[in-house]
Amino acid sequence: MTQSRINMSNLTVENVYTRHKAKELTKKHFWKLLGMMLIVGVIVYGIMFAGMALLGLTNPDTASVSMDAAAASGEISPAFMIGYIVMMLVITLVGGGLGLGITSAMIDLCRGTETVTVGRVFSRMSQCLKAFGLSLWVGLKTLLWMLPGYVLTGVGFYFVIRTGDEMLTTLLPLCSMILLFALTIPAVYRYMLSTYILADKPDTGVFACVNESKALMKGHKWQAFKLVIPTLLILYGLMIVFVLIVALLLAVVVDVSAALTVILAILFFVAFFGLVLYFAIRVGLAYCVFYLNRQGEGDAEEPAAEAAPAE
Amino acid sequence: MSLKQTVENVYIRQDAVLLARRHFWRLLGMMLLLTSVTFTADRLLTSIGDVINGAEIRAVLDALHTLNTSGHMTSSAPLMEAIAALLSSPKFWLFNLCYILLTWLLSQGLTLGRFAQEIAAAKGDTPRVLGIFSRMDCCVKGIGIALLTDIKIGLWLLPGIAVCGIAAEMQGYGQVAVSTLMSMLGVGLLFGLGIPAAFGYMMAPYILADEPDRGIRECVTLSTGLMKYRKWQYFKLCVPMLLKIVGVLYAEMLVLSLLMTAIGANPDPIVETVSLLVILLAITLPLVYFGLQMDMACALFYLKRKQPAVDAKSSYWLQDHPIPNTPAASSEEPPINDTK
Repeated sequence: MTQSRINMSNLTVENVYTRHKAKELTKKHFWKLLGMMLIVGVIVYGIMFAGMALLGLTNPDTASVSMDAAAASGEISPAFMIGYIVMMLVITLVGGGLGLGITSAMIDLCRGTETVTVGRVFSRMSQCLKAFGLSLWVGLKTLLWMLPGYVLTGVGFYFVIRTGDEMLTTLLPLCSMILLFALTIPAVYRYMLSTYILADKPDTGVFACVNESKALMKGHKWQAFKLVIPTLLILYGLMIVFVLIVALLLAVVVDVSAALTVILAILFFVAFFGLVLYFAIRVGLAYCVFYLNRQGEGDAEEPAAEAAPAE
Repeated sequence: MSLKQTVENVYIRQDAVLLARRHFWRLLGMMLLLTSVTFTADRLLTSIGDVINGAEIRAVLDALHTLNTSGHMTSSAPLMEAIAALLSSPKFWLFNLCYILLTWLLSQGLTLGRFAQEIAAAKGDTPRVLGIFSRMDCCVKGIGIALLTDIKIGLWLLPGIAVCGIAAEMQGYGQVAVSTLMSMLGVGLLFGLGIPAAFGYMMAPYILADEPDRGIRECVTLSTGLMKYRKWQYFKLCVPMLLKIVGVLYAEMLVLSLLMTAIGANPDPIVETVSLLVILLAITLPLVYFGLQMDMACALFYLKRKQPAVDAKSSYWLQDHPIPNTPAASSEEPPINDTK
């Protein structure tokens, strides 16, 4: 057995334990984390609705049309645009700070070292500017990795237009798409842990977070990619079954009672939303455990307890 | 499903990949030999059938030719008569019965031989290509096992079929809501009872291939015992491999379709033929490669269920893969001894 295959085998087993731990933590802390996510949702959407309402009051001409329609008809005033940009900036800053708070809470829940309350979601609001800077810097670095793919696409279009060659028309977009995926996806995973590092160690600088993420993810990008695939497949399967059952029930109930149909539709929406949130929390916790494993804070007791031979 | 079972699956798949690579050409040779023997037998029996039923078949073909050339509806009567004559011929039914029985016996014997060689590879021995003929004496037992398991699975499917039948009746009486609910229940019962039953009897051919002296009922009973609380584990064992096959085929189709579009305007027949051969190989090779891995995984799973203790010859069981004390996996982990 080659060394790389042994490592791959160990990383796969580590993923199994990570997913198991995430599942256990989700069961234990689901309502707490759900509360945090609902708070974030209410605040972010509250700002958005309040912002749109305020923009509507200050710019009555554009209040009655949608953004797209207003942009198409050229009716958007400069004041409206500035107000809109400011609103999106506020949402990004507040959302970033709250997101860091949830991530920090999840990391501490994974450590199991302290009691985490729902109010922890506000614990990283002071880092919202740093979070914004980090997302900009990571976005820029990822964009740079995407450039070769885009350049090849541009060159390809140029040659296709100039020569009209059918083979080039087919091959160049294919090559540029492959290059785009081959460079961008590893880049995304390379910088994936920078948010977790900032949430866990808020004194770390933006560049230090990115560099530490690069170092931690070296040799583990494929492991991170494979980590959540089974969970996402389970979610996908459950959603299909769920939608099929509800669709059949709705088809039966719609002829019986309109009120019952509405109640069923509301219940379906709530259950569907709950299912998605449950798995979102589970995936988030899985990545937090993965982050802790990379930091060398993996749980030593649980694997040892499972090390007894089967049967 | 316990954590230990999931970890066991990981190691079984890893070992299956290694074994499939190590014995790739032998396993491929076995598959090719099996396919060519069954294909040849099929062609031979079909030719014999054409000779035995020659007159009736010729009559049908002549009537068909006449119908195609004349194009009148009234001319279909001779065709119907010729088909009726063929179908009412005793030698037609007798030959087809013999054909089904012989091909079934042959395929069962060869499949059991293939399983026996895969189990031998999983135990650490070297599989032999001609070993697919090693279980031809068990072909009747193989058919017996197939029939018994089909009957048992059919019995498990009965509740679902009954409920679906009642649902269809309700539909006829205009009870749409009740019919829909009962159909859902029926389908749920079909899957909920049928699939676990099918998995429960899955190990029976492996048991017969490994221990040919066992009886049919003994193999089926043992299979049920081995698969107790392991059906979900077995299902999850195969899912990643199936996903690999689907992923590779999907990526290949994408690339090949673009390539074919690029060279499709080329009228050169040689390029077209080569392209078609490349496509055929591109589709077949991943199926064969990953298919062999799945076969080895099933054989390893069978051995693991049969022999909870570590097999002395095998290198890759759970005790040879110590679960790391810290989940952090890195190159600092001590290498696992490869005794092979």
